[in-house]
Amino acid sequence: MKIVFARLALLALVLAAWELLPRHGIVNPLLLPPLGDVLAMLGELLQRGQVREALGVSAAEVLLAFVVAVPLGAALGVLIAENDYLGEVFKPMLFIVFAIPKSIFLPMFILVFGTGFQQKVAYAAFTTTFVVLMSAAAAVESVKQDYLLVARSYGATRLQLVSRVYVPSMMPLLLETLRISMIFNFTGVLIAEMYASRTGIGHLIASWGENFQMKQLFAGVVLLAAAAIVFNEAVRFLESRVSAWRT
Amino acid sequence: MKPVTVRRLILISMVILWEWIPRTGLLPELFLPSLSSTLAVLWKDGAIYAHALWVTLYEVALAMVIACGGGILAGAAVGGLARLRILLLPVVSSLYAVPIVILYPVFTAWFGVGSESKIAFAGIYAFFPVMLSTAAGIQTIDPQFLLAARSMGATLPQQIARVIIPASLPTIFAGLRLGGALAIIGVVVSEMLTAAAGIGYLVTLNRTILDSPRVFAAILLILLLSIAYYLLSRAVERRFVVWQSAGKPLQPAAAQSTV
Amino acid sequence: MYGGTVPALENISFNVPAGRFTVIVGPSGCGKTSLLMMLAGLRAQTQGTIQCLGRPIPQPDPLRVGVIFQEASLYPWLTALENIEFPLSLRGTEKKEHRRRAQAMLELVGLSGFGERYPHELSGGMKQRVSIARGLVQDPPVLLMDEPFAALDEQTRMTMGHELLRIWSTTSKTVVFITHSLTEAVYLADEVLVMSARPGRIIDRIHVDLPRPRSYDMMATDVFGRLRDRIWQQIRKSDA
Repeated sequence: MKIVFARLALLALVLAAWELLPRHGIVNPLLLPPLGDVLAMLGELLQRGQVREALGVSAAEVLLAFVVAVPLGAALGVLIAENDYLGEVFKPMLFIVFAIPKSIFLPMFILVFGTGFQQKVAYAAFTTTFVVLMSAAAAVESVKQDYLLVARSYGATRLQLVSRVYVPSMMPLLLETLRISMIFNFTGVLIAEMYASRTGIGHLIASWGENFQMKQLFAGVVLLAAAAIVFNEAVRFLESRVSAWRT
Repeated sequence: MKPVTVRRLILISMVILWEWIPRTGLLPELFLPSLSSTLAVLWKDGAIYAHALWVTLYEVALAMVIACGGGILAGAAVGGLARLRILLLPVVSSLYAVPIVILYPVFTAWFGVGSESKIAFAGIYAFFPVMLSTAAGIQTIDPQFLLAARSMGATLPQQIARVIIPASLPTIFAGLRLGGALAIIGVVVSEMLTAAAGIGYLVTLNRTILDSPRVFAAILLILLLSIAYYLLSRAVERRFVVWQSAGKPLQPAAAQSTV
Repeated sequence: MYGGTVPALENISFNVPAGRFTVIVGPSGCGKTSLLMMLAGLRAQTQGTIQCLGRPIPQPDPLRVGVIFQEASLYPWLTALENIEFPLSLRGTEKKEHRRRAQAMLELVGLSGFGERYPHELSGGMKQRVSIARGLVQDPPVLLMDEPFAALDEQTRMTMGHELLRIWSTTSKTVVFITHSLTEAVYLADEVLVMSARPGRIIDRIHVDLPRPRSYDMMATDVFGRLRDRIWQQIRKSDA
């Protein structure tokens, strides 16, 4: 309990600093508006149709990209994990793929899809697929050979192996995969929106920044950060429920 | 066929296709300029690209100082000191969920369009994963090592220099590799978004004027840069940490830090 | 744990005769490791005094006491030879001298030719031998060993026990050896101190009268069996 207290105290300290330092001019309020003003602006923004529309667009992109990337990435990941030969061929390449900034492919997506909705979904799905692939492969590989051996020695069929050993064993990791993939997915959508788009919350934030509308900008940042953290913690909670048996 | 051979074949065929597909008109030159036209442009505008590369490398280097210097030290502190770890690690893991890119407009508003905003952004972008990775790595060091050293009469400075530091080398090298890769990604993304110089900037600049060969020349340079860094850091790691246990499980650069 | 302390040991009082092989045997968690840590100066006792060679030992003194742990804890970035040299290098003696002594220890434990290997290239038994060599390299008169063979398979254990006795017989060191194996205790010891479960007390002192050098067929004798039974009975009684 003491620890939770200490963390809350830390949070309170940071928030207090955000409110007080700009208000008293210790930090330039034009560069960092006080927390109170930011939150007030946030309230105002959430009532504007334009903002709501942008949030809707972004949410749709995030969801759609996720729905495309997860099955695709999972299928490929399982394939690489299960098939030793394919695994040996592609795993070293995957390491290099992760070292490359995938944003460099944005121009290609724009050339093919234009600057609209599809381009952003396609790009985000593209970047997220790799993350899902990697995590799914790791999840499959994490299932202990011993567990499989025991099940097979009792005559489990392929289907039973999957449903009674693989899935329960992988569940915590699967949830973690979803969680991590969503983080990257979200990032991908935002980058695409900030790069060349006229819709979406990413675009709004970028233009607020360009126009030095700092209160709006920080309001947007706070909103998105809060959304990300809430989602993350929710999935983490689910993960802990499902993985009580894990050491 | 040996996996290595397959990979090489894939690579070679990609290069061939890059040249061949645009030529045959399967894809318009606008979408995919031929490799030869890309290289030609690179040669012709060599000075411009060299200067841009220089700017980018400068930003990456400074971002690495923040991310690796700060990240490794912070990670070592958090990983090594139980109180700090219990207090901060969950907080940092939660923060990791936030897409750092949303802070980029803040940095451009504060620091302008020049290198400072890129360095700040990429520095922070790479900082958290390096910190988390280092904290995790520090915890894998066998606590018996210090006990053994104490039993042999090692003084505190000796414990640090002769045991803690060598034992931390694999973690430190991993942090450098991760930090560098993420710094490159962070710098490139930010240069593509709002910049006046650098390779990322060249990508965006030439895209808006639909000069595909120049766009792809820049993309090619970035590809080469990130691959070169990856291979270099791996080679250094292998050379210096030769005693590291082989056969580590598959872990992507960024997901590594979600311990 | 959550505030307050749990007594690990109670009323411990004994003498370890010089030059003898003393074994402390007891169930898991009886505090034998804590006791060893105190004898080594790695941990402070809350009450009472500990004297080693006539002086207290408030902190580790590698020139007096060498410690060998259950996990070999060899440093993976050093070769076997460098690991053995390590304690010497902490004191800054001359490099050539280190090498010579380390090499001698390497040969003593029967690993000549393996000096340039790294720990990950060595088997469990070999790693423990290097650990023993490291403990011996500064020639301390006292050697403390905390279940050094616990992580090895039974066959290696028997070989290592035998090896240890051979090495010990060429020196005149005082050895305090901890184990939870009754067979190992009787096989190795001159005297066995039996400890009870936590909080650990010394519940018996058994003199092992078997002739030296010990040999494997002694394990089949009546004497051996009775000694082992006695230890086992004592431990079981203390558990009740």
